[in-house]
Amino acid sequence: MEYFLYIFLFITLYFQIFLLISFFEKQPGLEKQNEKGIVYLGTTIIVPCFNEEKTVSRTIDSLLALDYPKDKLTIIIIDDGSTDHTWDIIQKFKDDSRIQLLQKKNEGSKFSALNYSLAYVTTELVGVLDADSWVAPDALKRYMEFFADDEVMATIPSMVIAEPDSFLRKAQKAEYDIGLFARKSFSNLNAIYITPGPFSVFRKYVFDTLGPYREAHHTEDAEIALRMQKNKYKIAYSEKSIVYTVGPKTLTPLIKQRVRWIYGFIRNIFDYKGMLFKKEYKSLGMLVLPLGIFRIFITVFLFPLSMLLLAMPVFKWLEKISVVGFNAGIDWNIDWFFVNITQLQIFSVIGVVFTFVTLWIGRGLVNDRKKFTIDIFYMLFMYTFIAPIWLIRSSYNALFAKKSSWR
Amino acid sequence: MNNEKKKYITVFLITLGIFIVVFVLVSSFNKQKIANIDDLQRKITADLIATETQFELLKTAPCSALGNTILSKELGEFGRKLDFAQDAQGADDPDVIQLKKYYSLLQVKDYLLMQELAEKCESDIESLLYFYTPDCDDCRKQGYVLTEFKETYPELRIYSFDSSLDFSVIDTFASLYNFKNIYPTLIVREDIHQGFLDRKKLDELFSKMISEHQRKERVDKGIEFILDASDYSELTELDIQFVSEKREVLSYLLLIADDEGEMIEVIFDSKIGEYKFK
Repeated sequence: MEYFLYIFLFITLYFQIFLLISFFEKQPGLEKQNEKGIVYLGTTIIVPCFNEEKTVSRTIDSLLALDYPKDKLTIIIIDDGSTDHTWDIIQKFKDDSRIQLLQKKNEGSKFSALNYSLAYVTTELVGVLDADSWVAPDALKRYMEFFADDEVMATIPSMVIAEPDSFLRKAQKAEYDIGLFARKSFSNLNAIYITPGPFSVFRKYVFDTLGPYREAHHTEDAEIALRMQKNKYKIAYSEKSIVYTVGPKTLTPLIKQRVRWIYGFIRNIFDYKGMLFKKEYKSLGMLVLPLGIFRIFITVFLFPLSMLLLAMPVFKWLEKISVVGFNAGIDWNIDWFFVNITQLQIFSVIGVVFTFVTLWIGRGLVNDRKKFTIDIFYMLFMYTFIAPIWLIRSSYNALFAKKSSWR
Repeated sequence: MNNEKKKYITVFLITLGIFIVVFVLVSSFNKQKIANIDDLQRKITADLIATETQFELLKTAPCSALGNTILSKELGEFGRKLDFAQDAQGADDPDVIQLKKYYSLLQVKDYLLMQELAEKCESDIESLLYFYTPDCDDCRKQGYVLTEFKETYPELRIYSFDSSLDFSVIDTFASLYNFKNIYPTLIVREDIHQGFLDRKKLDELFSKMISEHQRKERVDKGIEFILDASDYSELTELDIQFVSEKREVLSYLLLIADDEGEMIEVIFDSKIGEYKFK
């Protein structure tokens, strides 16, 4: 049992170091353009809405505020059969020349709304923005330096949790920022396997040649990315393009969201298992996808275990304090005889250091000045006590092919 | 070899390197610790023989030697190291069990010695017998409290015994007091206390010892006060003898040049904790 644990640890550490090294590798062939040289390509952004009356205005306002030529930008707002006042609310935008309003009957999935809208797209680029997210003004403009490369077929942004106002949202903020580090590494490896709902922009050519969105276990944004990778279409990551999203505020919707994501991820990889361990897909096939699944399972064990190992001495100390009071305090004359160190504890420390380093790097990418805030501890807490729930549940569902619900 | 392969291998080597460093570090650390425990074992064995001799010797020794046995000084230190060894290697480690048996034996010897001396010299030696098992939560807490208590009042002799050891000496010792199998069990002056005792209760049990301890402290501080005074700067500790304490007045006899000496009285104000000359 112990040896299995060390093998797991070895693989995890290997992957982390691999990502770290990849992060600092220079991506060949991407030359920066100066402002004057920017070619603004015609772009359509689709905003699918299903009962989003509270957030949709903010989303549309942010799109209208984009620093982008008016004649090059079209915004399609599609009301996917909302049962609230979404349709009434978006009427206020109908006079803007860039805006096009569509309405259809709900079919229970986001991708049908996207495909419905794709028929109306005439521009070279087409993007998606979920109605619970909003963009920074320069987000789209910064994409253009990537689309200047004819091989780039899609570009994805940096996702940031905006104004976190609950414990879980703060935890998610740290989590997303760490995710940026991995995203950059994946992009250097040309191994991005997801084009997230908030503000991924594609060449329309992708849908013309590979077909529209497909039913894919409620994670269409992962399926299309894998389909693109399978066909060797390049996906770029524009780290300076920032998209703000909110994330579930409370436990139940968060778990539901994660179960859907991870279930979808596992099922999609199963659908594209032909890419696993194939040399032609390089790091994506050899490492990123296989370890992506591995990592899901290992997190269930490693996080709680390492947190337990690190917390144990603290618990003991607290127990002591509770019976003898504070003056017992800490004995500064450490006799090394009394310090008990195990391999696992050292690895736990290495793990925590890695978490801090990746957070620091991730926040550096989006120029966040506050590198270390309390939310990192919230995240550690979330991954110790809550993540196992969604990991176990989604793995169970995936193994027994139980459908997870969309909302 | 292409670049990608090179990278996979480089990363593998780095990871392997980290693993090797961690494992070598930890194992060398542990080796040292095991050596330490071996050392401890040797020391305890040697001490067992030493006690035997001391036991005989002290029977004939003057009462002033009381409380100065090598044994009692080192017992505490052994106990702490033993506790740790138990934490690190598990309570069922044969080395640890063996050490604990030795340690228990050592404690019983010290206890007997002290009883004998107390009788002979007609003095009170406060002691506490503490029976515990390693798997009881209250015992761990009791351990913390007792350690703290012993640090404040080093003159108290605490003898701790792991009842789960299956060691005839401990069993016999316990049977003398005939208590139920509830732990922690503390025995103070033949009285059996079962269950967790907090600091307050301990203070009550040993109130006499504590007030004596505090009196000694007062006397010692009074001596320090005299030594600090500019009039007596030529004196040393040995020149001052404590005579008596009446309420707040401490009397000392100062041995100055001539053999008669000089009586001096110091007043201790307990409210503000300060001393002054009468």
